[in-house]
Amino acid sequence: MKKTGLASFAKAETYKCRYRMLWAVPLGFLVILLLWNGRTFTTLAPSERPMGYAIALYSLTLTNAIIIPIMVAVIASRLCDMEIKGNTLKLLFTLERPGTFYVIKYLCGLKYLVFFTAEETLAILLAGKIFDFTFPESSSIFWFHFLSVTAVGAAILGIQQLLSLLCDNQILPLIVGLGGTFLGFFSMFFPKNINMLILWGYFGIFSQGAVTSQGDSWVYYYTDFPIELFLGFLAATLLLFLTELYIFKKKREV
Amino acid sequence: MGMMIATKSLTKQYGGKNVIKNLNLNVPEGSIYGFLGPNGAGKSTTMKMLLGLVKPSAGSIRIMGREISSSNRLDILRQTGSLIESPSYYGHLSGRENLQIVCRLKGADEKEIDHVLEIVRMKNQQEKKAKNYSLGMKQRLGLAAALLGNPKLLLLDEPTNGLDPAGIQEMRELICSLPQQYGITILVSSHLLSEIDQMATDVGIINHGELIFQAPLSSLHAHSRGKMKLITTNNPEAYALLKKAGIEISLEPSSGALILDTTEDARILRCGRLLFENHMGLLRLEEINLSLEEIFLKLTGKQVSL
Repeated sequence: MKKTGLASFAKAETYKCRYRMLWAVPLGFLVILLLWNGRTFTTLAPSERPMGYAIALYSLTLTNAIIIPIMVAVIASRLCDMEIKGNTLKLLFTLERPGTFYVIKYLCGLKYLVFFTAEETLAILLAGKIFDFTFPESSSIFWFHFLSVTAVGAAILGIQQLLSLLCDNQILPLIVGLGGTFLGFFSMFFPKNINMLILWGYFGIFSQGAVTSQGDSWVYYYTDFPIELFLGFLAATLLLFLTELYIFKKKREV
Repeated sequence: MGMMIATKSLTKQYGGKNVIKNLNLNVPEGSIYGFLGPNGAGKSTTMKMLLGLVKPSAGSIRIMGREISSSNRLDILRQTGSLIESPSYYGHLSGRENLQIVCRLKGADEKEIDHVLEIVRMKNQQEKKAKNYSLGMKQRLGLAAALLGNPKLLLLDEPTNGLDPAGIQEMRELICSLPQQYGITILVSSHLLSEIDQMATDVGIINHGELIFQAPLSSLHAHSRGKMKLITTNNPEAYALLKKAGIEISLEPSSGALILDTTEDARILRCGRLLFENHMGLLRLEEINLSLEEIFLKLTGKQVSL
């Protein structure tokens, strides 16, 4: 027998996803996102184009808050329900550690999220080129956008994965995903201190595009990326993930 | 002969209640060990503890001579195969693809797949999606997965559950053939005594979490100590007479016959003499042997499933 390790477990995890059309999930949501935001880009007045990227980032913040929690819930559910339906955990845990299984499953889900956020960021840059937006002073704005959206999505993915693995019926995790969408979207209208208590609301907190009204018109502008808060968020996400892992291992008896 | 599995004072508590109490299981190498007990007796919990799926509250487990710990558990289990309760499978994948996943996880060579499919007689159904398999086929797929990697030990928890009579027969034949052909030791649990009787070489009976009997199957049969049934011209009077003489005797409620709790010649002779001396005629004298079902009932106090 050959030696097994993370690589063979990861290969097995990828193999399990055959015919599950998992790439169709981020791709489908990306199409929805582009159609939704494409309308915003195409209807921009020439006077708005210098701030085109700020408008794009602001617009995507709203759509991300709506789309990503649902997308992540669907990905986690598709990845986990095959284990629940097939009663496979008791077989798997005789071959790999529950912790290893959990982390590999998470990384497998994460790659679909990263694909989505990377494509979204590229789409913003592409839209900027097509519609002739003025490039911002620093390109870090796009990196921060990619990193922050991925980080918030990753934190939500952890919760969704835990729920999907603990629930026999995948309706509950999907309801949580849907609830997160509403909570995240409406939390943007809450005071910031309350907004910061809601994980799903961090799409808005890390947004670098903002809007304010001046008379009858809306003025879009860039905001500084809260790096310290972001680092704190990453630490909290890691802690949250470790807690989820602990809960899963505690409840692993099958 | 060495022990393939040996547990020492294995205990599992749930909410302060002992579900498994001081279990000392000894599974001889090369045997088919029938792990018998009524539903809820603790068979599955024991098997899950052996596989590390459930953490024991106390006690130790040795498999293949090595004490199981969290650091060597997977290493030892890679040399075993298991089928616990319902079969595990990925419904959207074919039987062959399911086995490919197990190969990757076990580190087994994928060339083994054809061989195990042949053993479980599933070569013709290997390309069919597992969700479309019958329960019997799913069980056989589970057994095929368990056989990958040439295991030395198989743990099968109620492998015939839910199968039709033909499926049960097929599974039984498969299990019986494995120790002879491949030298695999098998621990198979069941609540069906007749099933264990047809497969096992050794047997352990668990009830309320306690191992109440453990020995070769032949010893269980020997356990069926015979009795004598007596019918006399006046059973009630004969009963009173023999009882007064200090002989262990009882009255069978249904027939009114006398049941002598021994087949010992001297006692039978003494009974006959007493009856004769007291002018009571002996009409019938019959030897009764306990069936395995009766032994099971006697040991567990529960009606055996058949």
